Amino acid sequence: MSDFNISKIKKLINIDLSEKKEENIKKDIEDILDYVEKIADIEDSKINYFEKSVDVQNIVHIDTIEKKEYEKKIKENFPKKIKDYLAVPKYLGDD
Amino acid sequence: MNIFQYKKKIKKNGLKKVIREIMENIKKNDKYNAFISVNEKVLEEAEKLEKNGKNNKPLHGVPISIKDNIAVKNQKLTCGSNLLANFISPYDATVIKRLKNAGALIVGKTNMDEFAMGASNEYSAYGPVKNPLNPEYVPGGSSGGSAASVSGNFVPVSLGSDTGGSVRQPASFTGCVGFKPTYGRVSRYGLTAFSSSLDQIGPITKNVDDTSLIYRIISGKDNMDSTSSDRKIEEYKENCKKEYSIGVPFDLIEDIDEDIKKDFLETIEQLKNNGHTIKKISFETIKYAVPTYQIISTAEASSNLARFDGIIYGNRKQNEKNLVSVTRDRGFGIEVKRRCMVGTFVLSSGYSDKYYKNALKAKKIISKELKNHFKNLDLLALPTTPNKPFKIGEKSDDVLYLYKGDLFTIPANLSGLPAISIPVKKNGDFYSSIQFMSNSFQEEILFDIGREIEKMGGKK
Repeated sequence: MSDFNISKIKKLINIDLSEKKEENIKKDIEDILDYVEKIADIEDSKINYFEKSVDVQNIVHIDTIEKKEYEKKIKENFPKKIKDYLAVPKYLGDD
Repeated sequence: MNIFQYKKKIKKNGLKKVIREIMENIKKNDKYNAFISVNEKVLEEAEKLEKNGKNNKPLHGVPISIKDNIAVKNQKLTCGSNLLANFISPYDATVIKRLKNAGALIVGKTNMDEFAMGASNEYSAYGPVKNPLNPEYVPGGSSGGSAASVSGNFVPVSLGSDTGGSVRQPASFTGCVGFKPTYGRVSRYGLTAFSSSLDQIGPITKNVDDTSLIYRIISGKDNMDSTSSDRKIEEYKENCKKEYSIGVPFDLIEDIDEDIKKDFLETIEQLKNNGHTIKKISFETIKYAVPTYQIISTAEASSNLARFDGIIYGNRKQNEKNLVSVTRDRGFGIEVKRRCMVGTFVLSSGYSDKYYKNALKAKKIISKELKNHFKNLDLLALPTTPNKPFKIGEKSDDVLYLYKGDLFTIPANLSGLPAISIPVKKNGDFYSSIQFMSNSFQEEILFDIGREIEKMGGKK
């Protein structure tokens, strides 16, 4: 599977990988992609693939704002806080 | 011990004593690494339950373990990942609310393959789970900790999640009953999404009656999950034994493990002798099942797991320029990275037609073939797995072997149909299991045939 470019995919999913890790994972992914190519022989263009398999309906709700009792608990999971606010590192630069 | 036996013990010894014993047992004797965390408040909860007086709830005091990708309020929710090592859930999943309302006590969260990606429970940031039937072997996955917690006699019931067989396969590997309900039957609210169109929560238990009881409690419409169905749940039927029409794709079992094949064929023969009609069927489109699953589930996973970036929650790696990419590199394990990369690739411009759209088509034709079969059949039978458990570490380098092991379980997820796995016979340390699928929302038929298998002298 020569088309697989791990550097591009790394950027797309926003993940760092060391060179060694990259080597290990690339071979596995190429094997997986070779294997899943089996489905390339499906040529039936009439199949409506967006049609649902089971008879459940999606329901669209109107967004409503509710004061949830667990707001405090959500804030407790912040990785870093300043007072009651979520803290993120300062980011400046082109890349 | 099953639920009925636990209830008797609670009545005899008192709830607090029973729960204290269970907690001590988990803390001292979890040699299988089945649990990631325990509920330190469970004794208080037991006391509160006892003070409330009446023991009239269906699960009064029954101890239950929960896979660590299902939210339990004020308990850890790690999903088997380093990235969520310190995350505490602020709310209960709908299934947990329903279990608690029925009187159940959540004793702990169980180990699992990271974000439910795996078939051996070797891909957990908290170490591999060992199979209670032989600790040198894997318990299956991804709900391996749940299966080990039941098989290892810590609890009578555990909830797992099944995206491609992650409840049924570990149940089979550890000698338990594993059940995946129809897609939409059980709310997914509070289940950490892996592949949203395939995920379903299901129980792992000691017997079919317990599965049926838990299913009845956790299923039903939920406004927090718009894919949950409001179809009426059938009444409990005891001994509604009927002669069923059972389809068997005999061609598919030619190259599987010899013991599993023999036990499966003997069970089918016995069902025939009991008056059921056995029909030889073909299942042509199953050849697409594993590739289709690997494309759709990874595509959805790559999107679902994009939220784990260490910004609002998660184990953030403080790094000014590459906070997200470093957090994700250090937080995710190898299998999650692999699958997210495959999922991103199959959705990427220039490749989505070849992979993702074809996989959606394949999903459709697999569903259609199964639906057509169920016009003339009540049940479709297959072994749950083509192979027995393997030694921990033995297949670590063979990713495709692990993927292909889900061949018989994946079709139920791709088609949304319900399926149950029941142990039938012990060979050496492990059991062979049979899997039945039925048409959508026909869960009662699965419980009925399951009880018959148990009476036929299966495992118990």
